[in-house]
Amino acid sequence: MNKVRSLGSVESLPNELYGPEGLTWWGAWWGEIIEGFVLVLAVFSYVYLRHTSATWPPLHTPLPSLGIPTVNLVLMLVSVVPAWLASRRAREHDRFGTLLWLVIHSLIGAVIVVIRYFECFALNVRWDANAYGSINWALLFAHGYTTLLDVFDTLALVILFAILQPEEKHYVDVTENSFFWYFVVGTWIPLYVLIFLSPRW
Amino acid sequence: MTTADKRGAITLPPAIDQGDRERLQKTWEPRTGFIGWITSVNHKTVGKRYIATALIFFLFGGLEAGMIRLQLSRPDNGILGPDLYNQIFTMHGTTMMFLFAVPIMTAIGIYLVPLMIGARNIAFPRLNALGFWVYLIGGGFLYVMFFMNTGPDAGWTAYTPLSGPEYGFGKRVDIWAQMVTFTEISALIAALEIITTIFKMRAPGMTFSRLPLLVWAQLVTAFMVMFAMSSVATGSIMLAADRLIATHFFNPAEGGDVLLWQHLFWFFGHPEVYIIFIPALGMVSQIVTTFTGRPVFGYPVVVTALIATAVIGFALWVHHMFATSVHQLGESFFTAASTMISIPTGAQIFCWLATIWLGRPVWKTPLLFVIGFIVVFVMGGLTGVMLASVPFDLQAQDTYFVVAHLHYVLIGGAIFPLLGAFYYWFPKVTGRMMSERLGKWNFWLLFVGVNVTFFPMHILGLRGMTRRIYTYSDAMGWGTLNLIASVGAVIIVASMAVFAFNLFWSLRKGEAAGANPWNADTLEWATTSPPPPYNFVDTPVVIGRDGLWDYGDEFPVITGLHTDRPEVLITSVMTAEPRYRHEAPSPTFAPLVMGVLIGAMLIAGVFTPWGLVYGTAFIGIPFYMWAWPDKREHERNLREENEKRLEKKEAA
Amino acid sequence: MKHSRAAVLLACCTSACSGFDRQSAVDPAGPQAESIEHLFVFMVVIAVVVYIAVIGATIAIIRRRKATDEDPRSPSREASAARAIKLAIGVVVPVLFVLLVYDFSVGRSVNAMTNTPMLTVELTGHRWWWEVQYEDPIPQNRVRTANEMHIPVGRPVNVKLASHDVIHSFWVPNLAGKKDLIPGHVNEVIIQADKPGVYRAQCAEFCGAQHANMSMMVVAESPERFSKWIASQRQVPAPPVDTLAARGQTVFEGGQCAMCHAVASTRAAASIGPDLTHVASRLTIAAGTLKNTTANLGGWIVDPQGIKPGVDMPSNALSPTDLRALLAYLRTLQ
Repeated sequence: MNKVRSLGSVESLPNELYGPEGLTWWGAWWGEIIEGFVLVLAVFSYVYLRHTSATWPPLHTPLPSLGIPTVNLVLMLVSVVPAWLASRRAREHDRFGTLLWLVIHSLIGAVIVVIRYFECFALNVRWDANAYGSINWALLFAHGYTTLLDVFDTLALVILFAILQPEEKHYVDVTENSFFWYFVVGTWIPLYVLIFLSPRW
Repeated sequence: MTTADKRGAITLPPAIDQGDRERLQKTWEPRTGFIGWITSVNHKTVGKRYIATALIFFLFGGLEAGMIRLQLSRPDNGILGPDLYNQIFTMHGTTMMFLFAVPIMTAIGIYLVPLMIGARNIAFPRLNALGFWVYLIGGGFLYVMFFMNTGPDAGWTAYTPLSGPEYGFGKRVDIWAQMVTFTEISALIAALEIITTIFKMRAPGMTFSRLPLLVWAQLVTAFMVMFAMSSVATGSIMLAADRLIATHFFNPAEGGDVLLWQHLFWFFGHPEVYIIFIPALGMVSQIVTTFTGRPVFGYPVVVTALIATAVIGFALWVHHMFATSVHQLGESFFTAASTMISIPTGAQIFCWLATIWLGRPVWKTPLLFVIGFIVVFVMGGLTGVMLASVPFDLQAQDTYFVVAHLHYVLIGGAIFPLLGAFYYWFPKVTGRMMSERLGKWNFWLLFVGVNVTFFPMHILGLRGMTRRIYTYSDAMGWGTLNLIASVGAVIIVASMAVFAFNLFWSLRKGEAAGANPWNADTLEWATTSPPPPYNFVDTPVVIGRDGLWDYGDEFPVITGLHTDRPEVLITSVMTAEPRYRHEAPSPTFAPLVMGVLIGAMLIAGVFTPWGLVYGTAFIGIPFYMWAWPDKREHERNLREENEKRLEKKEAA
Repeated sequence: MKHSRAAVLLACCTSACSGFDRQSAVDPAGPQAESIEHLFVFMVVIAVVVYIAVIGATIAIIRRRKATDEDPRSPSREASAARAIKLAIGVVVPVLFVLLVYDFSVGRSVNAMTNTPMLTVELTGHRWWWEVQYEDPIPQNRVRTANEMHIPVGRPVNVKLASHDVIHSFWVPNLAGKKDLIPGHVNEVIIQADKPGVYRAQCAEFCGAQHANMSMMVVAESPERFSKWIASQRQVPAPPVDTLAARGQTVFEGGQCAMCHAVASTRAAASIGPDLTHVASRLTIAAGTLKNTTANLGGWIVDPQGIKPGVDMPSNALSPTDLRALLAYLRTLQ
């Protein structure tokens, strides 16, 4: 090929796009798929172990308490609101509006993580007591660690928005951060039912 | 139509603006030397790193195989005692499967996919660099511990309870389990990048129906990795927990189940072999195309076959567990699936044979390896169909029959295409051709060696020789066949020595290659050999499925990407139309620091559960390095965004 | 003895026409192994035919002489290629189907339980030996032995499989496919021998350091001889009359032996290691590793770690007199 011809220029294209048109969204999406599948496998393991067990919880193992976990579930559902609002403000390029809702989001998130620690004890069984204890702690831990990392991520955005004038890509990051948070909350609902309600059935 | 032996028939097109080359070179590779190399976020640099490291692990795995064959060459041999032998065969399997085969196939994808789709870099370049460090530290950790006599010794499959806290003494299996975590993180990172790159960064005009078959193979494989690696990770973390903090996932005495491990492991383990095999099929497609001068016959069939193989591959895992006593209905399902999976692979082989029949084959080394692949792999595929049968499997499982089968399919199905790929793409990566003469020696020695080593093992297995035994007595009558197999291993070693010599010699003395020595059709041949850090001066526009063969004398491109900062073009998923320009990251230490932190965290985690906690506490440091914008770039971006906003306001 | 065709083929392949193995899947001595071997031969035939076809096509394609002006993309030739591929797949798919049907029927027949009450043997896998127990409703009739199983020819035997520690696998290829011994699970496998003989079984699931040396002998004999064997196994050994052997019993009971091994009606009653009540009647010792001769037994007792490094049995430093006495005693345990 001895010649080259330009069919056009992409100079006028934007530098960022929100949602699946943009690259960052896909990073969050695959993270959700991977983590989601790990949770699916953990749930499969739960069902498998339950299936091979005569009673569930096993003999001499008390049922999990409902108080603290239900509080945390409600908090999680509530936390979707500041996440969504932060995302909205980000799309409007409202720096301080975004920052406000990010701060609220991360505070609620931090509280959720702390309560998650206590939720582990609400199981009323140790991780090393039996397989029932092990799998429940594993589920709480797997989901909890993801939650913790997302809260870290949100805090990082808070710091950035507080100190720097955000670029377009930082606003996109806020929307993707909220997108991941919906996943964190969404996966918790069936897990809550499985861990805290289903042993009672 | 030109053929692969008419070098230089397709010339490299000029650039729209010649000055761009220099500007782009400075932008995409601002630092040279050691610092430049270690902070690089260039997919080619990272890809080559992966390949070199994987080849070193291949060497180790091969040495382990050599020791196994040496020990088994005679009955009652005393070269290796049982403990060392058990570590060695475990390391052989573990190294080959986790540290060599998957990483090298991934690495070839990391290197080639952006080039083949006309992109400047891979998606998430810093994550890509991180993936390599995590892989290196994980594999290195395993080997350091192995050299300290703490190598894993429960087989690469690490069945519980042998690998559990009660019978797996010391830290051996913990190290293995953590290595799995390392390599699985690395593989998952690479997978998500490859998928995103293929979805969002294809050159304008490259719709899915115009995707090169290697890119299809890499896409399908990356999806498999996402679901398979998660499974082994879940299992290995549960195993580590059973051993370290006394959980009871696999402890039947406290409600756990020994077989849960096998399900989690094989749900990964079976797709794993397809994760190794399918990228090789992609390489075969490219080689066949170039060396017959025509596109692969039956493109839609090949694509469908790749997808079908990947999907069905997830429905086979219980065939590794037939001896554990599976419900009869379930057994039948897995037998049927294991038998049927041969059909899509068979269809692909027929398509390649048709392509060779229709086209004008040029019998250079890469095409020889394709033929070798067909002859060796089909044998393994046939024994695979035999093993799908439950009653027969109950005789052959865990014997040398399976060892024969797995080596025929893995060496035939992955190593032969991989070697062909080396001979094919070495000119592109290095700018030099490999020696054809040495290539032919390489091929024939390997072909003969593989058959001499592994064919007798079918017979040994049927005559009662079980797997994973460090010795056997003379009375069993297995001595002669074992000796023959060991002689075959020497031939394989010779073949690999020729390959290694060819690699190193060609790096220095190989003939200069030029941009497109094979007159190939895919886009990577439309740039220099080796490619510049920015891959293409101007973004190519794709007008058909046959890449460079579709263009006449004129190369259509799209311009407009910045040359003063690294920038990549993002296109739409379904229609491959330009959508926006994404600022790519510059070289940085962040991935290395993050990799070291993750490495420290996981290594500490072998010895104490607090490793995870401490590690998480420090994550802020590399995260800051990663996410905090560079001051100059930040101010420049804010300025430009402001300008754009004012322009829009004025225009309105 | 009638030898299977496959066994002959393989023997010729390996130029070992001297005799046949005692541990071979292609030398079936029972109905299941035979059924599987027929299936195997069928599959091999199909595989050979398919392989020759594919390789033959490959070679023909490679060697084809082409006209230099032949168009690689000629539509008519592409149409021929399409037809050939469709034909090939059209042949392969039904063949696979036939294979599946035959395979399922073999699977069913191998698994079929019979109605006749079966002899039941309990096999428990240990690292690295086999514990064998013959059930019986009358407790005195129960037999406990190790590393050797006798079965009557022509009758199905139900082998119940359990594990004391890790996963093992019971595989006696001349008679049947393998089945795993899994801790926390109970598996069963039915075996039947139609010819008398000594068939070797080997553990087929990697179980640690001495996995390579965990074998047992399955002795198939006529129903009369089997009854005699069971009867003798049920007998309790009489105290030895010979002074040397009597001294040997003292060595046994008073030394390390009794810490792990049991001999019925003596003070040795531990069940950590194999039951030695009838050790002298066995063909092999150390889980099929050594022939059961006095010399081998002596060597094994003194230095088990030298023969099977890693086993649980410790070395025994015995004076030569004690060792001779012990061996004389063990010889009486027929």
